[in-house]
Amino acid sequence: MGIQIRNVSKSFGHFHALKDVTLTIPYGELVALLGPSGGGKTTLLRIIAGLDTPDSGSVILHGQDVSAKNPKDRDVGFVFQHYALFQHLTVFENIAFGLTVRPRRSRPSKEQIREKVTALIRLVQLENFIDRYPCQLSGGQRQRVALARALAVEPKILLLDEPFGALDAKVRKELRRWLRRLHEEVHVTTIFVTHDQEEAMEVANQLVIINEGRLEQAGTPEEIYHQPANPFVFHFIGDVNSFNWPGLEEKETVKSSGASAGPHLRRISVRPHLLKLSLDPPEGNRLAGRILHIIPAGPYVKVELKTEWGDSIQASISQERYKHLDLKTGMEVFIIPEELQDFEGSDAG
Amino acid sequence: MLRQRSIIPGFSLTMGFSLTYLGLLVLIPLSMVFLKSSQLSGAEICRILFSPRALAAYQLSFGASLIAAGVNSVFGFLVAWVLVRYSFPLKSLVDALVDLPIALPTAVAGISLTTLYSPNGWIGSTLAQWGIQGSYSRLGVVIALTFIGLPFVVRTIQPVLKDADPEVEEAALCLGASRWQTFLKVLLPSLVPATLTGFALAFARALGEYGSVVFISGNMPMTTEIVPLLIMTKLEEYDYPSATALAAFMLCVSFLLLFVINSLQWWSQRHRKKLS
Repeated sequence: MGIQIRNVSKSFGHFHALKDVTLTIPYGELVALLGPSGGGKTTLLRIIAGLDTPDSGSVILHGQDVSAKNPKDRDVGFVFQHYALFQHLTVFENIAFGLTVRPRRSRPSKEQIREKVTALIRLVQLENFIDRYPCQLSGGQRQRVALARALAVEPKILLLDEPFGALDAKVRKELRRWLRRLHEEVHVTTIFVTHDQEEAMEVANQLVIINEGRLEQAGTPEEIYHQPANPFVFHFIGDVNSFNWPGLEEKETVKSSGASAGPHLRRISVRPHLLKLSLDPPEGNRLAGRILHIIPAGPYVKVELKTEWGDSIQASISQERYKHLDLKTGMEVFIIPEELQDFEGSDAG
Repeated sequence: MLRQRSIIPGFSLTMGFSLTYLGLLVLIPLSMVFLKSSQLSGAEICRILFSPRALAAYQLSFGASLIAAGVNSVFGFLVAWVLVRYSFPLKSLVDALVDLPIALPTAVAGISLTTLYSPNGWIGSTLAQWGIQGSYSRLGVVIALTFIGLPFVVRTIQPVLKDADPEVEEAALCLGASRWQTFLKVLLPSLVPATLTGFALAFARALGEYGSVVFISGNMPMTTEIVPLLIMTKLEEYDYPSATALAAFMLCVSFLLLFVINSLQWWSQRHRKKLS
């Protein structure tokens, strides 16, 4: 139940925005659609809302195929990146809009509307701005009005398109926490689009990674971070170093090509905090690097290195380890990956 | 207050030029109108301004201009809507056609409209079957004024409509509004100021129109004589004071009307100016 998206494809001319996306979102979740810009996240959101129609595939909301339905019959609330508030209406009128356009039979009375809107205004903490017009509000306040307006019609699903994209960093952080709390309070199935992985990790309890129109992986933030399904997800989430690593077949030479003798290199990817630095040469394969720069401020010490094969990498080590090794710029150290992600048949580069 | 520190140099130069320019082209000629008519005594001015023939002319000029601007506001809005919202073959040609009334010499427009709407013209003959006279009637004046006013309405609404954020309409749809409600409650209010501006421009243009109307109206005093024509007649009779008195009166009334329309416009978007 909840939201089911079955084999949805959509293209705009020659551009394939979505390619055969199948996805299920359970009822009541707070989900982030995460991916690079232009990857199809917003298109998927608009298809769920009914603002775009898929070329093929179907959308099932709460057990009902709504593929052929208008946005107004889908019970969804949509919050746009640039708020899309009605400029000529006050905050109150904006929030009340969805209720006042109902057909007479199902329209609540004036008092009921007033009551409801007032409660929503309290929820979004805009009590002092009831009679203001959108142009008299700050970005964060406008976004909250847009949210309250969407909630006023009691949607079964709340869709937010880059809701914090146009706000400055501090307001964005506040609103993220606020959105989490709001979700705990209202408990409506919520999907929001973002290209900011930190935001997605912080707010959502389910992540859906979308890239170039394809669904790359869906799961909890933890799963996605620790068990990335493919190189794209691994590289997209968190920091990653990719560099040449002397392969297992040490000192194997390529005789046929007559190239210079040397270790067989393969490309590996390791997260910065999983790189160990050592002054003593380790057993087996070894990779040396020169320290270019050290950033000692913060909970971790960031060390930038250049390997002997010319790759630039960054390692995060603990403050204690840093003091113990007494690292200095220009020193030669050995780089030991503690855990490396190896995707079959790809160079993860 | 006049002299503000600005990065852009040449304030005094540009301001001086602008004032001279406006003075030479607008202020001096207009003040001459008042100067010339001030040669008359108050009683004489009243006699000229409120003669039955002048009153009839005012009625026609203002009435026909208002009707024409009103018609243009509705249908110009429609044309702008079609041009912005839909794509169809030869759209750019239709778009260019809208400007024709500005570019066309008004006499040419007048003559072709007269021929078309005269009792034996293409459209006029059809109208005649229903007992409606196109050319040489007050209706003819309205037709000519509508023709010349159309571009002003279309060209003021078009850019505003083009800039209208489609997301606002989508938001309304998501909130359960029908297409019609979305149009009435969301789109139309945002276009009211532009439509008023278009109306004011079309109205002002129609008040001053002379060339096309003289051909189509038939120019019968008391029935199809517009004020600009009356002024022309006075000039031809070498009655300069009367002509300038009428001109001054037209100027004042037009100014007043434009002022009212502008205030209306300011009122319609007052919420945008509050604070912010």
